Amino acid sequence: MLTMKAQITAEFIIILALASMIFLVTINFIYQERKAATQWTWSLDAQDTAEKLAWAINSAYIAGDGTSSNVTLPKMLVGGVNYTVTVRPRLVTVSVPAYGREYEWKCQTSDIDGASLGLTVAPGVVTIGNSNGTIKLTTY
Amino acid sequence: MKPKRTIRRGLVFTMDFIASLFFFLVIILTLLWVWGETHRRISEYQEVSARHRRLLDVSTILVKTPGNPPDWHMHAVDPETVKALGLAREGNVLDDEKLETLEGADYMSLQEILGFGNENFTITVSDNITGSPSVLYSKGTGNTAKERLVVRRLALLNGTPVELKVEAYYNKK
Repeated sequence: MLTMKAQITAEFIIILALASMIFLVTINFIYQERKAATQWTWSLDAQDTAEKLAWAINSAYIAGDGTSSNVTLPKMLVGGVNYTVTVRPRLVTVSVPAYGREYEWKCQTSDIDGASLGLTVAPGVVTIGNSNGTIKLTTY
Repeated sequence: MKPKRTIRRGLVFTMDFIASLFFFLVIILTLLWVWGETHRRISEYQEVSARHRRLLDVSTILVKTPGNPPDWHMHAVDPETVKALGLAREGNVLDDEKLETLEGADYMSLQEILGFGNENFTITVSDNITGSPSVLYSKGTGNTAKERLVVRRLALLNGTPVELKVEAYYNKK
């Protein structure tokens, strides 16, 4: 008599294990890359924010006495990440406390009012003015 | 006569299957490589672009502003006293006294004032820019760093058109 039972062979088990392994590796890779991409977007945003403020400081310095311009700093970085901006002589730093990261951009003047002790700039509209070569930052 | 025994087991490891698994793995691995390579290239481009923008800022400040204080060249060049470095008498008109002071200034202090950090740089002012340029003033030295970024600016020096060239040297991460 011919037996026609369904078989779960060793071959099938090997293939199932192999397919599961490939699937898990792919899923893990996608997860890691997605995480890295998210981190990358807010880190670029942080760097861009530091550069924007430093550029405005440089521009106010180049334009000379009496000039004033506004820069708007976002409330949060892309992805809803909180940040703080500190201006020191010749340096703008954007800190992301949640991830312990800092992004810096050099500016070309150290004559920034209040920067010697580290001037914290709140997000929002920042007015950057030049008064006799000294850069003054006012937040609204 | 004894009946012939027939095996009716399903074949799983067929040539088709092995070939398809091979192509699938090749595609997945290629995608991983392309992803990683694209990410690396974008990061690299972003880094070079940031350095270039920073060098543009430095050259603009040098060629357009007198510095802070404007008579910085009359004193010792120190990051504490020189708040900003500028080589101009007025916008795009260079001051030869400032260029002479720049040549004699301490290199490390200039690195700090101009925001180069640990990166090396050279600043060169040349005349006869349309023919064979001759260097009038130069500060800094070329070095063994693999990468180099250059920004050139046109200006006047004692009524003559000159070129101010700022070069920054760095190694890729």
